[in-house]
Amino acid sequence: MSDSRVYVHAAAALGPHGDSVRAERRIFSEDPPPLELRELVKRVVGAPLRQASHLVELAAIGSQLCLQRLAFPAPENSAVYLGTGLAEVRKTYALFNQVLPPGPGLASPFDFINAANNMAAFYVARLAGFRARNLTVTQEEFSFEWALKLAHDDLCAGGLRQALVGGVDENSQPRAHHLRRIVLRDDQVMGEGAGFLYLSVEAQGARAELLGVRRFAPDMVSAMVRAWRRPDDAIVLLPGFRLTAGETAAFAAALPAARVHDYLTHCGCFHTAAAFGLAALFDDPRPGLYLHLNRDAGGRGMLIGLRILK
Amino acid sequence: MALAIAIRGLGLVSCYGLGVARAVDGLRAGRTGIAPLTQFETPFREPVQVNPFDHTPFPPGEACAPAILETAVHEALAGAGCEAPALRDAALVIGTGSYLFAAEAEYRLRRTGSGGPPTPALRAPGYVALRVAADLGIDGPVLTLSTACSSSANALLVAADLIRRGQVERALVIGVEGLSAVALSGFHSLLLLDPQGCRPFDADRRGMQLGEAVAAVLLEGEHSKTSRDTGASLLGGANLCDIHHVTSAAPDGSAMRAVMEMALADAGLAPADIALIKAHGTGSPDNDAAEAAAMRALFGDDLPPFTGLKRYLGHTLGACGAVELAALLGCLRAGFVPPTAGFSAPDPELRIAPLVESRPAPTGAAMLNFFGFGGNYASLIVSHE
Amino acid sequence: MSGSNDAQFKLELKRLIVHACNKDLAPESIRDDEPLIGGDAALGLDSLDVLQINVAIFQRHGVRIDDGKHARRVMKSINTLADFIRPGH
Repeated sequence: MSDSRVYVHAAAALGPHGDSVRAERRIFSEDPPPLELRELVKRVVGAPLRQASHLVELAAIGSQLCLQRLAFPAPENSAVYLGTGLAEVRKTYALFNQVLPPGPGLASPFDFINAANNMAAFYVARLAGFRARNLTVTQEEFSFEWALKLAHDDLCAGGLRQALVGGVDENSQPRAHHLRRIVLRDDQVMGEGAGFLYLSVEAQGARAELLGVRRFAPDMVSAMVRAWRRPDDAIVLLPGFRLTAGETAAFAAALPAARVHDYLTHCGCFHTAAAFGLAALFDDPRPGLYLHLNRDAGGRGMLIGLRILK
Repeated sequence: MALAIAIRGLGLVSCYGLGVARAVDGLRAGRTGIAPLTQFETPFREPVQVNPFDHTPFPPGEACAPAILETAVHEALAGAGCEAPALRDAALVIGTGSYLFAAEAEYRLRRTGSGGPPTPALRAPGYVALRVAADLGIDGPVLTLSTACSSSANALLVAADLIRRGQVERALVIGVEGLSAVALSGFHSLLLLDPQGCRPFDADRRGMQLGEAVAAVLLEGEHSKTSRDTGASLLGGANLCDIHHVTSAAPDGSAMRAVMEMALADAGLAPADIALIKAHGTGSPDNDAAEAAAMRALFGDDLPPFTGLKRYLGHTLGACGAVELAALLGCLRAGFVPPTAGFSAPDPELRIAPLVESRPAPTGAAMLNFFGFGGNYASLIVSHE
Repeated sequence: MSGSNDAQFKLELKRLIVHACNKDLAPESIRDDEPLIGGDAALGLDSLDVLQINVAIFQRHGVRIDDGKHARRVMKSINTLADFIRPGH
């Protein structure tokens, strides 16, 4: 592959409190209360999205905030890559209750349309006026990683110049079922939220460089970091929700002077929490090399490398 | 990109049974796989036509999903003269609208036991891909794309890119969709089901007809050595978003035209190089009208013959990209183009009409179009020998 | 009594529409004869809203329209909708 570079020009993270800036972030030690987004949608999007689901609202707010923070108007040939692990779990649940015995009634058109897994990416594109490539990736823990990797590779390949990449997931009730669905322990916080990055091949005005998204084996991480690291880089590890404390400590030990940043206290656990974690770095951007590491339930690992520029 | 990708093997589970050959036999005989729905109850009273396949060879409940996928994969591998170990470093890219059918199968299975209604499983859609990868020993990239009716067409494009960029040598693409009470009721509530089954581009068309199918497509770089070959290649393609409306296309077909043009440009071809179009052709009044407008605008007076497959196979939603590719390539290899089942009366407003009689397979490239909800459109360009 | 002559019934329909379509207004503010559909209508319902209301009416009143164009004609105003559901004698 060529040595094309991919840059981050804007970012926005929407947390389970409806938080989108540093002063609004909350630390959660238990599940966040239900999040009502209607007013925030009106404020950010400019009009209510009354036919849209909660998941669509999360994506709409996150993407619009990201684009509002961009220093230039995003062109309509910007692509959209959206990762979502569980997708529309609430609407699908509602449809089951509407349609399947013992409840049988007709499916609600709004619910049915919202339950299409690509509806959030459609709203993101429609609100932004983006008429280019539009992909929704759903691959459990790596839904966002894959969305980011496909965007990165397409940008490096040269056909595409800019893309909006995001991750979004919602929680659901009852809690016990949600935890089982995404394989969480009872002591983990059931989170939700969205994170978006606007990427471009243009270096000028960039706030960060996306170094890559790679599959990793534990013993390969320090070699990858050596290739990315510059002498004066501070290294910050962002452990994903599948890493155990022991694994995180082992990675930190293998990377001398690495600091660990636990963003999960702000957003809880969900498949695409990585999108929140990376985007929230731009609440208070500090130059350095940031590494997000996570595993899937099958033990595969993926690593995202990002350098926040001075 | 413009680097052709070889289509080495095809596998299909459809209303015609197991295998591409059975579907080709059905299409050659002009036999559609249409039948009244009997598999499960729906909450509405009107009869509905579907294209079901026989589920009895597969395990009950949600375990059916990986089993059906692997059946299609084994056919694709056998056709390519390839053994499962060759997949070790391959990518697995699945395209699906949803696994509602599997969640519903699990729900019905558990409901037959004692107690109240079970909680729907509703697992994250990626679980099937991980399971299939583990069963087949695939250790390469694994991902699932879900972009409504263009899902598996997009999966083919993403897999081709992984090969073109040298990230993998081969990729297994699977399109999967099963019949679902939720989906049937949803489309019924949207007034998008034609009670007589779909009639693509017909003056009296009233909507779609849902089907279920799974197709597997083994892709490789042209230089990769495999003992056998389908003789077909993926020359290029494109995907874009029509932001006109959640469920309806820009009526002038402008976004559909744009995706076809982008696909041609990606393949390095001009409209005149296209010898055949496999239309999306759902039979829905507005969608077919926009698609006809797009074909007229792009091809003008030199519109190549076009055909639609959805009365034969049903609209298999997220699976239709891989399913209709497999069925069409099977027919072309057998030497014919199937006519458009369900079409009889030309619609004067469309000003164009699809194939009504079988034709010999043309030489030259074919275009396959897929237009989904949420404005997600994909166009593929393939060649066959 | 036909539906359009029953004020209480029409208020119920207004509530049903506002609820089904997540509209942010008081049901009482909808006039019985004002147009409901399209960008020029105060309520501004679109084709998807019409389908949503169609299902809500079926669940509540057991009446269903199976054709989109017909549904749009029926939902021209509260009066036309009320008379479709309860045609009177």
